[in-house]
Amino acid sequence: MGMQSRYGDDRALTRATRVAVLRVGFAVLATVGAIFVSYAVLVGIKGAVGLHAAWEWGHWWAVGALVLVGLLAAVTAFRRVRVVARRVHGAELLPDDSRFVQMLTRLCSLGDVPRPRLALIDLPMRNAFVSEGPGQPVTIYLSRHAAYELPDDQLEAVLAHELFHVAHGDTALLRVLERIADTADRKAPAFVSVYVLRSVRSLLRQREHAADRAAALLTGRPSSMAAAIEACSVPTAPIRSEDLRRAIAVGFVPPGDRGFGRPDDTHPTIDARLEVLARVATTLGT
Amino acid sequence: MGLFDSILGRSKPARPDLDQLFGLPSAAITLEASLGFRSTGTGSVAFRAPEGRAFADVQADVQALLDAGSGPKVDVQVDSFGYTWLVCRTDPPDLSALVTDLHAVNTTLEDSGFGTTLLCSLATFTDGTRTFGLVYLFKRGTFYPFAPAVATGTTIDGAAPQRRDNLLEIQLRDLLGDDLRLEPEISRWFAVWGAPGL
Repeated sequence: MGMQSRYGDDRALTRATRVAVLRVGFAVLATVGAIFVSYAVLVGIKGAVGLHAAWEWGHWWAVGALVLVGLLAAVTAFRRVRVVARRVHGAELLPDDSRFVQMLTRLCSLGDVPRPRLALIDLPMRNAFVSEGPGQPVTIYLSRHAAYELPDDQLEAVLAHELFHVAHGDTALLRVLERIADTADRKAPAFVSVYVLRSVRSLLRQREHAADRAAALLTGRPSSMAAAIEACSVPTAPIRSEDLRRAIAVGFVPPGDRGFGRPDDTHPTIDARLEVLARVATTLGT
Repeated sequence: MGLFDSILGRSKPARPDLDQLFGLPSAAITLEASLGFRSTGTGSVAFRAPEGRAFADVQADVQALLDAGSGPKVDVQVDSFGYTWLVCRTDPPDLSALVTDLHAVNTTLEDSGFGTTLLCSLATFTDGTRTFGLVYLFKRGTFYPFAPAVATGTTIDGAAPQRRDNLLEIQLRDLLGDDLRLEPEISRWFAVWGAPGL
């Protein structure tokens, strides 16, 4: 009797997530290894060229060239990876007495998580995403299409999904993962960076399943969650802003113009998401 | 939530804390002595009824439990956010009996594995003109006051305006701090417009 029997783990989901975490671990090792090898080769060549130049034209030129190369390497290595938009243009922060905020506050109370801010934004689709950055409070952005076109129960499912991205710390995780993928992309050979990107994205897809499942258990309505996923997945215009595309990597549905089921998708297929929700429905005794 | 659980997305569902409810009768004495508010004898429990048979059975059990025995009257209401309210009434108003009933509803839900669905409990108080509710947040184990302002005028679409009497709410918070554990984060004081007994 008790909560554990009804709200226990989804074993298949836990196993898949473990595999994804392991893949990311291998990916990090592969990246570090590849960078180490390429730096060793690079330093070897530079050193040889530098010695030769110093011998030929005097050492000041060579030292200057080495310092310049070092500076460039440092700048590219520490270039900040912007994961989410610093400023989301045209966002309208909702006041506490708005119906949407009230809906969110109740969900936060039910799940005992701190309440993020909620803002409306214009996107050419029904969607929502979370944004968080240095000096900026956690905010859930809800597209106006989602806010005004979805029925209440589906809107609640969308908010609950995003709330669990916040509660699980997925925005911070995304920041780290995209940084790993970005570093591999710039520093490691192509076959390594493709593997890194795919493993990072496979972990992100598991996070979507985890958010779906936790949200469906919280609202007690897996069928509303399923309906919301379908209602938000109608084909729409692509999101062009690179910042927003990254932000939507922790969104409710992917930004629209992507095919489903590819190894580098940020979101699982609709069918895979419905399967997880069906297992939730079974635990609730539907 | 541990780090590994967090990485694996296994959030522990928040468990309710029921014991604080029994602080209500002593708070009621303070309320009557200081501001002249008395219990209306109406209280309610709000929860999120999940889909499915398992919960439908539990809900029937709760109602059977409360309808039997000494026979407190129980109503069921569903609000506009989709939460179910079980309303208990005592006549003449008897706050201790009311708290016992509310506790029984909550315990039944929790023992059946549905403790995570509990949103809040509400007990209402009135001084004749103003009415407010003390809302108990299960997951936090804290109370907060919700006081609708006495409606004056209408909005542009002819409805009564929804305005909270923030002054009274703050006054109540300051008054009840010794008797009850109050919710320190005001952003968690969600409105319960149209809740039973308000």
